[in-house]
Amino acid sequence: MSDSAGGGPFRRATSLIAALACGAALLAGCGAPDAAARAIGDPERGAELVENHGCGSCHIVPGRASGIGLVGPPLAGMGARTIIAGKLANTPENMIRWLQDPQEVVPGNVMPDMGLSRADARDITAYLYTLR
Amino acid sequence: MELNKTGIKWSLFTLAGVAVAAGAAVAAVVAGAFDTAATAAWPQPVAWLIHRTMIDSVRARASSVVPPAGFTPEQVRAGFQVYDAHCAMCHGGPGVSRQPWVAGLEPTAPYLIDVRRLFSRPELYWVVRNGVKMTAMPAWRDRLSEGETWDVVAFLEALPGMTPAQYARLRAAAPPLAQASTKPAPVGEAPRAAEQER
Repeated sequence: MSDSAGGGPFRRATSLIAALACGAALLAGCGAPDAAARAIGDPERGAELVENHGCGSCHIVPGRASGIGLVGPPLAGMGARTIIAGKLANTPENMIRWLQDPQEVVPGNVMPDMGLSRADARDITAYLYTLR
Repeated sequence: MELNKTGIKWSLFTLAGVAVAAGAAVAAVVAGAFDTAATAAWPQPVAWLIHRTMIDSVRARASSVVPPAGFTPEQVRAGFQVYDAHCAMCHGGPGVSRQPWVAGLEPTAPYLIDVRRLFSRPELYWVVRNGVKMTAMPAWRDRLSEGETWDVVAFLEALPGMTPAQYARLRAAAPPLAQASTKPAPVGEAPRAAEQER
């Protein structure tokens, strides 16, 4: 107790600087994935498509009242996943392919082909890549 | 005396407040301030409130429904036929997409693989029978008999364990029913049938 309280002004200044540095790194870290997502497509439109296509009936969608499904995996952290669809490396191109044609990628799984255009799949991928 | 005066003063203030609020509400309606377009999604807190209201409303009303103890495989098959003819277009199925235009509904129609987790047997029956106001979910009580409605519930309860291949096999085995609109309702059967003859 007295140890931590009696750190002295120098130590307090260093922790403050460290905290600020961490904060800045976090901000940069938050900015980077969004920039990466924007390079793929329009994440705002992607979020709307996720709502419109009823994705929330099978997936938990962060921050969406309709996103309460426990059929497929939760979408939180989707952008940071290593593998998607249980078999593909999580690259934007693979995600677009999976979203456009889930029955071809994993025949017989319950996720339906939703008739997404390539632009739709790109924007949804951009949205998913903001979820890290 | 003093107290009375204050009381009257506050009553008048309240009345004036109510009048102003009512006037503002009427003005907002007449000016078309509220956007009824289905392209405008509900703000998330409103979406949550609507969904919560619906769930609790269904729970309160379905409590008087007495469910059957269990369902037979025949009921599941019969329920599939009704579901595939009348429900699948908006709610999809395992590995089966909804019709593309359903994405244009706000709120949109959910896939139902998970619905058993949200609603009990009587609640599912009640929703199919009575529909959901301010959504695209119709009340089916004048289109489906009570027995057919329970068949649909039997199918919904079997849905989580059903693979796309099994769903496709059910489709292949059973020719889809005619549309509900051509199916006479229990009341007024004769005139409807006669109308369709022409």
